[in-house]
Amino acid sequence: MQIEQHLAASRRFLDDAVTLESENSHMGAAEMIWGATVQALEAIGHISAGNVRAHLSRNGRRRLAASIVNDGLAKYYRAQNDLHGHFYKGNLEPQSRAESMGQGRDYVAELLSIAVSSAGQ
Amino acid sequence: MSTGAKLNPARDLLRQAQLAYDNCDDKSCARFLWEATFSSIQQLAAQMGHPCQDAAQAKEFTRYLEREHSEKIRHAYTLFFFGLGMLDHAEEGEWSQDPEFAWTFPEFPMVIKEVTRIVETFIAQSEATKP
Repeated sequence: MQIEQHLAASRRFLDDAVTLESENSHMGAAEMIWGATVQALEAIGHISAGNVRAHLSRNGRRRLAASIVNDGLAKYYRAQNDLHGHFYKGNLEPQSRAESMGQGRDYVAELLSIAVSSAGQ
Repeated sequence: MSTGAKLNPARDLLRQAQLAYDNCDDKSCARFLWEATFSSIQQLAAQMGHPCQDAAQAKEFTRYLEREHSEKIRHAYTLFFFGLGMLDHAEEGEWSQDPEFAWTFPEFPMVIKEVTRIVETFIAQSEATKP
């Protein structure tokens, strides 16, 4: 995928999360925010590497997350464990889930802002 | 480094975490990183008059900070949660058994750096909150 495709996928996943939440599909919504996180990081990774086609490894995503925003590794870790984890286990209570999803959205917005400004869009 | 900095228990725990990593002991390193995170949260809780005797109380305190005091410290629960992940690694908990979520030894320099930032964030707020 190209940079633009990753950015578009990230935004689409955020929209899909809103739709799923409105349908009370909270596990799916959490996974969409996690997917949006991954796609935003992929976009930044591609920009940094000059738009190569390869995907980032899991460790590569973590290294990138740690380097681009304040507390980035902690934000990435929460998104992965809380949101991606919730998709598998459905373990978050409503208030925790709402807070984690809000934090996740904020994190994706931060990443997309960096991606767009880095790509000169 | 000032004398105060040397005496801070959370910073001492960070130093022990680095020593454990240098000895290729990622489990001990992770436990010291959790203890350092908890200690720094405990210091801030003490300054703000909140109970913080265990992980459950630290979780409640940082959730409270994230909801009510984001101007003091941003995404406090996210920072606590990262430290809690270190405890999971140290105790070979659920997340550490899943390759998708587990930390690998070569990642620990990055992890130590992140926890150091987290600990310093809580210490700085604790210092700023002192009467």
